[in-house]
Amino acid sequence: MKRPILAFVICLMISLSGWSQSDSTVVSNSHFFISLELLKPLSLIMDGSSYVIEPEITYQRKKLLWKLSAGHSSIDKQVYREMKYSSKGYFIKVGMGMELEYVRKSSSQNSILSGVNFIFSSNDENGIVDFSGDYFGDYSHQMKQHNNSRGAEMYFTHRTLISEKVFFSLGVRIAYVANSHQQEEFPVYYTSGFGVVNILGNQEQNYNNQLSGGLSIKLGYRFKLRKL
Amino acid sequence: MIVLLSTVGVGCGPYCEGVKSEPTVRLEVDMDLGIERVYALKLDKNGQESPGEFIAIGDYSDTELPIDLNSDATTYVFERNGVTDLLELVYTKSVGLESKACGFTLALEGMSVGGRTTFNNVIVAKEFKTYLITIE
Repeated sequence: MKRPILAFVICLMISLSGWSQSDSTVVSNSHFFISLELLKPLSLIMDGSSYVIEPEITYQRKKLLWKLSAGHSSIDKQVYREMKYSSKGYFIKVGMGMELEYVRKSSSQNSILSGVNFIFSSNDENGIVDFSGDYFGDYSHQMKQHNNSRGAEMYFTHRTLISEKVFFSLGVRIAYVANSHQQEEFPVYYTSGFGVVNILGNQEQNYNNQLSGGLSIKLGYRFKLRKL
Repeated sequence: MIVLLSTVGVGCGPYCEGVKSEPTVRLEVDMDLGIERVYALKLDKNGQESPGEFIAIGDYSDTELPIDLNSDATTYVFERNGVTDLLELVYTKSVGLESKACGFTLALEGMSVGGRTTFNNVIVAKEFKTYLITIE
């Protein structure tokens, strides 16, 4: 897993150096962008159960992006047929990317971004399964497990400036947990920073697929920096 | 029509190794012992024991004994001709995600006779999903 990521980063850097040197239409040298993911906290507003808070800061110089985000996730739902599941955790994402092209070069209001973030996370998973009992009464079996995870995600984002300083972005991402996170109690369902990790694979026999992905909608603020 | 529905009903359910509710073990008792009534001892939150409801004794003394999942041992009281005997079963519980169709199921492992047992000859044998307890 490490070699493909390393190769991708090297290729990305080579590409970026080429882009940076060849492009003479860059509007501004550097910006800071701070944003907050809107989609993930939505269920907190809807039913008060699950949420992910993921603030992000991006530094962009010419077409090169540097990203840093730190977040907290709290998931509470029923999974694996009958298990009452909860997960709480924290994560850090550090990454780099590039601005691929301007959709409308004349105004530079829209841009497409792509890159890779490295993810480091820690989360606790709890599960409760109830067994009904006619003679002795019901029994609740409680399970706990802890995940330390590291991996990477690749993203494509369409960013639109809706005013001079406010922007809106819509993105897709695919994430991969690089380290093994097989657990004895129950298959890992959610990994902080990565998302639901059992969306693919043979769910009859092994829910522990390490791939995740999803959509993101972000609203943010842009700081237009002066020349340093 | 009844036969057809019965066949369909049997074929539709998923095959699961474990159980999804309070398990039971099968009990076979020598008829000569003359067992009249059987009940289990229930534990409250303070660990105090109290007699549970009488357990139906089947034909040929073939009886299903419920297992207390909130404990690692269940004690049964057998009454016969004014004599009281105890049978204690000790076990461990194993809960896991069996499959998408079965969900989480429970299995009993390592069942054996506990020290409170007053019967002289008790045999514990694994039998498919459950255990067969024979008192001779």
